[in-house]
Amino acid sequence: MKVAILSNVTTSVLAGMLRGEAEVWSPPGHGAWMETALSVPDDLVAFSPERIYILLDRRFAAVSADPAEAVAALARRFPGAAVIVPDLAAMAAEIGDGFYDERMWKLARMPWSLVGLREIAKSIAPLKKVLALDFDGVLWHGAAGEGEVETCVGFQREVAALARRGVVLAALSKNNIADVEAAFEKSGSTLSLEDFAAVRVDWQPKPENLVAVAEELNLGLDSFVFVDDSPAERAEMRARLPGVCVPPFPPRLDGYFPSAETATPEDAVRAAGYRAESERRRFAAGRSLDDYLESLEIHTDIHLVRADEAARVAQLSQRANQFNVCTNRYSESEAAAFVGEEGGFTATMSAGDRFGELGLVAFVRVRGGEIVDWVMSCRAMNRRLEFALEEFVEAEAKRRGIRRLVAAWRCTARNEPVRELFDRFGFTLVSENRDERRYERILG
Amino acid sequence: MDAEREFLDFAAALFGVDAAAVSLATAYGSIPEWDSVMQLRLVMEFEARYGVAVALEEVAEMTTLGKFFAKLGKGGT
Repeated sequence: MKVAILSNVTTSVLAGMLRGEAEVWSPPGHGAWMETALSVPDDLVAFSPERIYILLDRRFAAVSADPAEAVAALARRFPGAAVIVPDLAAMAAEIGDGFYDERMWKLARMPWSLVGLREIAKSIAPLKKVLALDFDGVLWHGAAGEGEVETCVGFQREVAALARRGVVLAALSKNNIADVEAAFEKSGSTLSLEDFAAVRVDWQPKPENLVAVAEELNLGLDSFVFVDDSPAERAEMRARLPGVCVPPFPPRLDGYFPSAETATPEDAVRAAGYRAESERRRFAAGRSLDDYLESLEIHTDIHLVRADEAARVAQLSQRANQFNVCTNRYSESEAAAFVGEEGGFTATMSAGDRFGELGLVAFVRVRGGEIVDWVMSCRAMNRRLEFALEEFVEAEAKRRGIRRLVAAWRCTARNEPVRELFDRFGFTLVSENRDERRYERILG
Repeated sequence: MDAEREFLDFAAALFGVDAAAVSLATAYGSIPEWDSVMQLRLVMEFEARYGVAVALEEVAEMTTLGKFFAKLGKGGT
């Protein structure tokens, strides 16, 4: 993900903390946010940001111009990008005095403490995938089971729109399930319990329930935004699971998730896919892996990449961290160039099973006899789908006269699960050091 | 030595360099990763991890990893 940060204060420390999660552009010096927005420098144009954050902090510094003007100018200049102005005052009020560090302001015109920096950083990157919601006071006014409730129509609509774009919903609410079902029946309710991929409506501590949901969905804690109207619940979540993003209430949800402009058809089916995953897990109980996989009736569609798949290929390259052997990140225009590329080929795999379609879940790019990318969505892991794709890649390579396929795994913080991928395919390890394992396979 | 090694591992991880690349003699500016931006972050991460405070006036004087380690009261240079 490419992020540009404009601000009235110094953001270089924040930019340093974001590296590893995002590519960051920030202007030299500080304070020239409006000038940058109105007269975009060439290197920002070349950087081509996907998300632009305008961080305006009034604690020690003045904000001398109207951010709306900057937002409008940037939106015109970068029509595909999301322009976000986080409410730092609300964030600071939520965290308390510990949000700021006056020493840092005096030293470097940088107002935030480490706590504040971490809070801002996790609101920016990585992009979130799951919205975990409390119900009482959030989806409706009042408490389900304790008298009449009144639907929060606007907020439910906002959540429903996010779900249509592929944001996964999880329920973390302390209620009785029958009371919740009754509350969803109220007029004006656009959500129902079926919209939630994971439901924890009970009296367990919410951090414990959130950890269980993360395991169930096979997603990291840093994929979650947790919304609760209770300051005590928010504080507990923040203290016990520092990786989870906990915005002030009421939250502004627009900045955390992929924007409407960059959503792909796969986003739209993802939430349904995660709901199906819960069913799959119940179905799997008590079976051997082989029986289970066979009974899933998995089907795949593997072919050379088509032009209409470029957006999804780019998105997969940007988002997949675990099943990604070399972790090259591609823009949509770069991925579009893979279609019919000279001197190589790119194969994609779409998959589904009896519970639903997973969409395009993997791609492999081969250039000059080298596998330069092997990327698969975490949704498709643990089903041996990679072997079907490997067969296709080998057959296609042979057809093109390639006699020796080489491949590499390059270590990142997240891709340990595929450290031995090519060993599993029967490739020969030819060299190895801490950062890289190189392989070859002679095609008979 | 364990405390020193633990501290150096913390600094190396923060700088994003190999643990073998830093020692208590490593100085501000002596490796590209430790620049003025990292200095601020190092001060803050150090305080948060070890529960010690670095005063405003001291920040500019904290020019080697040894000076940070010395604040832990466990020796150093």
